[in-house]
Amino acid sequence: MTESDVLARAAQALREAHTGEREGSGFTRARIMNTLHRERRRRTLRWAIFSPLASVLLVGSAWAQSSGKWPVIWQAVTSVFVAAPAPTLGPTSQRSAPREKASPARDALPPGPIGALDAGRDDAQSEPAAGPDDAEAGAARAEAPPRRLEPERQRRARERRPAPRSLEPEPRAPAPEPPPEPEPDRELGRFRAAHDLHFNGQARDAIEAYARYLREFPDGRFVPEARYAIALDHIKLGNEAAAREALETFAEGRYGTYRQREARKLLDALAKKKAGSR
Amino acid sequence: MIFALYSTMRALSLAGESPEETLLSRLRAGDTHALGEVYDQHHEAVRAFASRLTGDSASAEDLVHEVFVALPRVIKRFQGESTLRSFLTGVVINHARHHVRGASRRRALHTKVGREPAPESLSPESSASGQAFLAALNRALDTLPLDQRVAFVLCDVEERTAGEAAEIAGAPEATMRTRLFHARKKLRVALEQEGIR
Repeated sequence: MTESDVLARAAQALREAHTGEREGSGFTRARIMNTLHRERRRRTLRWAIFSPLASVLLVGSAWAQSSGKWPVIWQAVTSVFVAAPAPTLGPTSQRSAPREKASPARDALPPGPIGALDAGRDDAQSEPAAGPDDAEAGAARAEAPPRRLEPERQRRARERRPAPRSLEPEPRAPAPEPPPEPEPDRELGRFRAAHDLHFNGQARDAIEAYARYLREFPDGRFVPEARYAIALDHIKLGNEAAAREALETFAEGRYGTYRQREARKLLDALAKKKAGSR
Repeated sequence: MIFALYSTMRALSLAGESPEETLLSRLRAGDTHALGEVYDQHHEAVRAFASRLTGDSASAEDLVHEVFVALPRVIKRFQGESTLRSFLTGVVINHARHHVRGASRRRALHTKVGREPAPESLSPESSASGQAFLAALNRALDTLPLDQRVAFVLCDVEERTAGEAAEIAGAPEATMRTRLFHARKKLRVALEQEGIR
C-alpha cells in the first residue's frame, strides 16, 4: 500500500464513519429552539425595561427644552451633584477640598502681598470681586506692613497655579452620567470562570469554581457540563473514586444521552486501570 | 389592521423570490420556524462536517447547536455568493476551534487513563471493526493545526475543490493548497507513528 493510499483510505474511513445521521438530531433541534426562545425572551425583557426609561428621559428633556425650563433644571441637577459632597471641612481637610470649595477661603484672605500675588496671577478672577470699598482697602493695604508668605499659603498658591483660568464665576457642570449598563449574565460569568480554569489545566481550582457555580445555580443552564467537567478534573487529580461517582450519573443516563458514551468509556478505562494496578 | 397590511406587503415582496431566497428572507427577519426549516434541510451535512472535523460526535453535536443558535445573527453576512450549505460550513469552521481543542484533549485523556498499548501495525483492512483505525486517525489529526485540519477535511474527506474550500474557509486558494500540502505531509508522518502503514 502506498502512502497516498493510506491518506485516501483515511479520508474514506472518516467519510464513512461520520455521515451526519444521528438519532438525537431531534433533541438538538429542540435544544436550539429552546435556546433561541430564551434569548428572545431576554431581549424582550431588556427592551421592556429600557425603552420606557429612555422615553421618559427623552420626553422630559423635550418638554424642558420647549418650556424654557431646561437651564433651571440643569442648574438644579448640577447644584445637587456639586453641593452634595459638602462636609464640614477642618483646616487640614480644606487642603484636599476641591477648587470650588477652596475659593471662598481664598476670598477671605486679608489683603496684602498675597492678595497682590493672587491679583497678578488671576486678574480675571479678582476683578469681579472688586467692590466699592476698593479705595479703603487700598489704603489699608498701603498702611499694612509687608507680611511674609506662610508656607501653607505658598503651597496652596503652587497648587492653584496649574488650574485653568475661568471667566465664569459659576462652577463647571459635571459631565452627564453614562446610561446604566445592562446587568451581566452572572450565571454565564460564573460558569465561564470555572470553564477557563478547567481548560487552563488548573483542575483543583476548576473543581472549586464549578462547585461554587452548582451551589449558586443548582438548576442552571450548564449543570451537566459543570458536573462532567468536575469528573474530568477529578481524573486529572487522580481522585478516581470521586471521578467514578460523578461519571456514573452520566453513564446511567441521568442527563439523557449527554456524554453518556464518553462516561461509560471512561468508567471502563478506570476499571481497567484499577484491575491493572492490582 | 396594521398586521394584515404588513402581512400582505410582506407576501407581495416575497412573491417573486425563489424558495431558498424566501427562506433566507424569513431567517433574516428572525423567523424561528425558518431556522427550523434550515436545520431540517442542512443538519446532516453540518453534523457530518462537524464530526469529521472534531472526530467526536458529542462535540459535533454541541458545535451544531452553537452554529444554528448563531445563525440568525450571522446570516446578515450571507450575500448569496455561495450556497447556504457552504456558508453554514464556514460558520462551523469559525466556531470549531474551541470544540476541536476540547475533543482532542478528551482523546488524550482517554489514552492516558486507558493506557492502551499502541498496536503493532494497523491498516483499514486488518482492523476488524475499523474503530481502532478511526481512533488512531483522530489522534493523528489532532497533531495538525486547525487550518490544516480544515483543509484536509474539506478537500480530501469531503472532496471539494481547493477553490470551494478556500471560499468556505475565507482564505486565498493558494493558501488553501499550501495548507493541504502540509496537512497531508504531517498526517503521513503521524499515521506512521500510530502504526498505520
